[in-house]
Amino acid sequence: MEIDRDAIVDVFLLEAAEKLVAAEDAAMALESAPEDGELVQALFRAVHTIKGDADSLGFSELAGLAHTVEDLLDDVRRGRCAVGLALISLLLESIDALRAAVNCVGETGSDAGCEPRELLLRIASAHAQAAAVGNPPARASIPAAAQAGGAAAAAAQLRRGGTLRVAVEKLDAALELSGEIAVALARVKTLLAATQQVELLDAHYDVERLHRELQEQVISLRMTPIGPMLRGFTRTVYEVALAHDKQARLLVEGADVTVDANVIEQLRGAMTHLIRNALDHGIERPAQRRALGKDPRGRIVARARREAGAVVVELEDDGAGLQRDRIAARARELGLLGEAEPASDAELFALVWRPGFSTAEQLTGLSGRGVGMDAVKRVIESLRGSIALASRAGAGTTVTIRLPVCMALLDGFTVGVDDEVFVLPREAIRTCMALPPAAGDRGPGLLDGPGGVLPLFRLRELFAWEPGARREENLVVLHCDGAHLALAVDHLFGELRTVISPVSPLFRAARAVTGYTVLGSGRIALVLDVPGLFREAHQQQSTRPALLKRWSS
Amino acid sequence: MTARADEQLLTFLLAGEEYAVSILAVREIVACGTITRVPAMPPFVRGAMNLRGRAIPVIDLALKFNGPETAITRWTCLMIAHVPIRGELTVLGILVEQVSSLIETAAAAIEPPPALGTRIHPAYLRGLLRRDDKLVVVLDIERVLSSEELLQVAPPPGSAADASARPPERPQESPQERKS
Repeated sequence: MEIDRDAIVDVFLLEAAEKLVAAEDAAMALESAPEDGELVQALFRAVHTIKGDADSLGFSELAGLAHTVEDLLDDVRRGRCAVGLALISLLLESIDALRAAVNCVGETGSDAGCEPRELLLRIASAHAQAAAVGNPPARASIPAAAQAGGAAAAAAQLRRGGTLRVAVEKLDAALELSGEIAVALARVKTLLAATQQVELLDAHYDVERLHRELQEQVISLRMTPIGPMLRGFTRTVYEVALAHDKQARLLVEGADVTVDANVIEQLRGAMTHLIRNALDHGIERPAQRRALGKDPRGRIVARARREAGAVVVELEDDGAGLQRDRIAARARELGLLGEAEPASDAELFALVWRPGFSTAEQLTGLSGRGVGMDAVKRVIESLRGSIALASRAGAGTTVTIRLPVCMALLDGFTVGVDDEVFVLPREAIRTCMALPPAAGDRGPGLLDGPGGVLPLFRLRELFAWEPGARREENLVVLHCDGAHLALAVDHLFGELRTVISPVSPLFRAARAVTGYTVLGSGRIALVLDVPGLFREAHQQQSTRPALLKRWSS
Repeated sequence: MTARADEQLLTFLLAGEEYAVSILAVREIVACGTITRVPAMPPFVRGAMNLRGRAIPVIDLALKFNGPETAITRWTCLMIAHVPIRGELTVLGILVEQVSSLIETAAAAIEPPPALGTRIHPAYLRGLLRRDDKLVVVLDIERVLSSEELLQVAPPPGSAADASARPPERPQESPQERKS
């Protein structure tokens, strides 16, 4: 039977990546358990297997690199090399180099030019020093069986039906097509409804049902486990803690929870910032922690779980928690808080999201892309998610991020202003109703709604559109971050589950628009961003100062 | 004397005057469909139109050149161009009253624009072309549709300009209105 080399290389790449992650974990674990022989063995085995597989596939440079690292690991397991921070550093660098070589194979199909000269020299010198300690280590020659075993094992894996690498663009294209089919089906339905022929409508219903299943399958293709992304932070936590003379470890829970693939990269950026924050401000120095009766090693937990219709990602640290006085002082500096004004915890912590709030990052130069917590909040909101902070003074901080399960599909509710149709995310809607005739009696811009007085905004006004021929007759009560507002529109249409597409770069500056969808009629409906609407309302509210106090209470 | 015709220009009517752009800039010409209004856009961005399932921005050059809004009739078309905006190749539709014709001419026949006298800023013009006793204004469409030009009124999200409040044009509510 012919064995497809490309498929075998694919399997090799996947397995090598997994082994390197395991090796990295083992290397970092050595820091707190330098005597643990099992960790070294695990490291040795991982590198040894990669060497064998690479060799059998003809990637001689990669195999050579692995061989050199293997020699060093052999020194370690024979006790000829002391396990300390310097060695662990060297091992981590070697793992990075192996990873780079594996990625090189993945991208270009060859490992040519992957050998990192300088690193090899350092490994060689460490090896030489170890050799000076005892007898020259006997080089374990790779038994021929292991070589052949590598290729055969890969082939066996393939027959068992393992995984397949697919370009994300292909998945996006499939999803887009699926969305277009939905629109076309809706058009057919309208035309068929006019014929009143039951058989035709039944047949259409069947097609619709099958298409819905297909769409769910396509969407599930884009879902990828969040574990690898979260585990990727283990290294970050290790190195950043080291740079701060602190100790910390990362625990990952819920690694199997799947998230839309398009979300992973953006989430990674946001989480990097949050983790750096936790290490910079949250986790205390080891001596301080001991004095407080805590384990000198700080604990950061990255936890993912599924809730109805949402993926929840939490980042919890057992550090000092949010410092009320520091936040209050900074808020006063920025003029966000008056001298005498007392603030509840929730209100105070909410100020952390304001632009320009956190300056410590800029001083320590830790934060990479994006600046500050406001950038993190915007990224999460651009993913139609929400983020919240909770803290126990002295015990730690928890950041909770909620994201929709699928980015491409929206459970929406359509409303209309003039001839335009807009879609609001259903989860942001508290209730909708006809605008009561006495709406204006409480004063301009206020409404006596269920549960109290609500600020009333006309969607037209939020968009700065001139008053239309029609008078608003309906309203939708929206909620965001605990605040509510009543949005007056002309029409309420109904629920709509639809594929949403991102807008053209030219439209990105449109505040409060987060995407668009094409209706069955061929008309474009803009999908509105609820946090964006609230921000617009806030800005316009500054022209109505009398309302300010009432809204925030 | 015939100069080599090495330029193909598409001429069209805009605010009653004849303009031309290089055909190379135009991917296709489509009939103008329903335009969906998009909030917070400069006036010359009329909105979005559905082109084979994609929402593409509709640009009204008449408004961009400080003229009156282009009226939408059954002859109104969109010239579809692909331009890079912030590094991304973006599809745009340019509203034209009517597409006139495709002409071939020599690049040398396009006279440089005068420093004064043209309604449109000379920076947007490649020049003027004489044709049948008329002057056709040849636009430098790439300059007109460059990122900076299109995005200058719309600040990037998150910037200080974005955070500043724009006074809304709220109608004055009269007591009679509220009663109805």
